[in-house]
Amino acid sequence: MFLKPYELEANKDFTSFKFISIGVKGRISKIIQFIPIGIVSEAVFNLAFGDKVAGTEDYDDAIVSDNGDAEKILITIAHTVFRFTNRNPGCWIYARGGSPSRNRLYRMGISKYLDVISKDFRVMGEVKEDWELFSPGKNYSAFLFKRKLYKFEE
Amino acid sequence: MKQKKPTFNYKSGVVRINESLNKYDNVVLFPKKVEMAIEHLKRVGLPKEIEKQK
Repeated sequence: MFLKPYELEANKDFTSFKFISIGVKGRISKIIQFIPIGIVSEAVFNLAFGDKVAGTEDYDDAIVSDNGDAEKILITIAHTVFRFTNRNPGCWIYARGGSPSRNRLYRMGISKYLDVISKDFRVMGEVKEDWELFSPGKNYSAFLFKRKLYKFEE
Repeated sequence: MKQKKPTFNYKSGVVRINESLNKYDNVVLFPKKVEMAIEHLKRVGLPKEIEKQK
């Protein structure tokens, strides 16, 4: 069974993506943003996403929408990471949930699809102030992704 | 009957360019997340060595 992501809209640089989550609570507009973090020697982009706050132009990453489509949302986010790193292949993508339960959700999603994800990405998890290769079932407080670069012989 | 494990591939996604999203090009929508990331990476740094992932 192939799981499809939500249809995405993006800005010209592929740093902002928007989609509509459709679930038990209706249609919820969500945005994903990649922001450069210029504090280390290598390029790192923070990945964050949130829900549109009803009646405003604001987005909030603390809202728990509970729309019953968490897995489809995670797959949609995975697609944005793939698209973004098509354009920025050498960078790290940093992701961290706003709460332990969010991190657990991310960890479960990564674990479930690690065989697919790890074909194209190195996945690291942070535990006790150190990074290690992501291992399913282990608790991490943050995640890093880096696109694997393949060299093709002519 | 054994159920197949769900999977996905990156080719199945559709991305349309929406010019209206260009307004976020110089806007940090989730500043607290970025602050947290900066603070964390300053403390922990990046991985020193990448081993092969199975």
